[in-house]
Amino acid sequence: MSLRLYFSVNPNKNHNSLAIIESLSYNNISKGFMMKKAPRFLNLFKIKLPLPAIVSISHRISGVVLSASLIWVAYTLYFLKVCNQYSWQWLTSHPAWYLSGYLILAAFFFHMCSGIRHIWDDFHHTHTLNAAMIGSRYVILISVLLTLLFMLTRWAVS
Amino acid sequence: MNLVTLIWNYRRKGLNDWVSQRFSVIFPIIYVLAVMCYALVGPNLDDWRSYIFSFPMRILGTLAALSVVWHIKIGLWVVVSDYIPRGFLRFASTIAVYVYVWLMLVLFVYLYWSS
Repeated sequence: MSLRLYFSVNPNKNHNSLAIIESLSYNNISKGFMMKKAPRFLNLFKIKLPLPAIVSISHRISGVVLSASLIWVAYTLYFLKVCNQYSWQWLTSHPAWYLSGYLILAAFFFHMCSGIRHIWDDFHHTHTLNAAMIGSRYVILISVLLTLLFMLTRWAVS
Repeated sequence: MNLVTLIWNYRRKGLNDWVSQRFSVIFPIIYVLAVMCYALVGPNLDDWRSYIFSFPMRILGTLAALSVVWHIKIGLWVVVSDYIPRGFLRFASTIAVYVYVWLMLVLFVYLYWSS
């Protein structure tokens, strides 16, 4: 009965063509069809995410980046604790230091803004795609503005 | 479910995690905004040192480190349990997350309060 049901659904008629399905491979014949119903090899480059989804996955990525950036923060704090004037100048003028600082700053403000949007979503204020789209546009705009504002500290210091 | 799975994946106390992940962002945001607004003034090394290691900023920094460690513990657990399948790999990466997080907390407390 279930086999008959399976043959009525052709996995090759995959209309959005997101997945590459190996329907007639050696494994299917040897292990049986029922094991291989789910599409296995998703082609991630063919998936076009809408803007709210991009903001959502970037929230996660920036969170991982920020949790790794604790090492940067601890290194800078340690440097501030022990260094003298010249080594402080060396550190703050080192491109690896301030470029990663820009990256961490941008990740922090993006994570903050999209996290506020997540809380907003948790309380069910985004019912429609339009509201989610507007919210994610505001997230990007405000985080870019905050990042640019605090990137001014570079010129304020020098 | 065997005992190890039960211990490391068991009732994550979802509401507890949800609430603490959302309330633990308050101190880090206050701390980062305080530091970055001070950086807009354009301080030199001695100003930085006396600002960051002043008593109120040490208290705020310790609270921020504690909160951010709690936040990261929950967030990285979510990421690990989303992308890594059950088994030894998830077990090992969960332990790695916890070790990283507690080492960072100890490091920050040491950096703020030593000498």
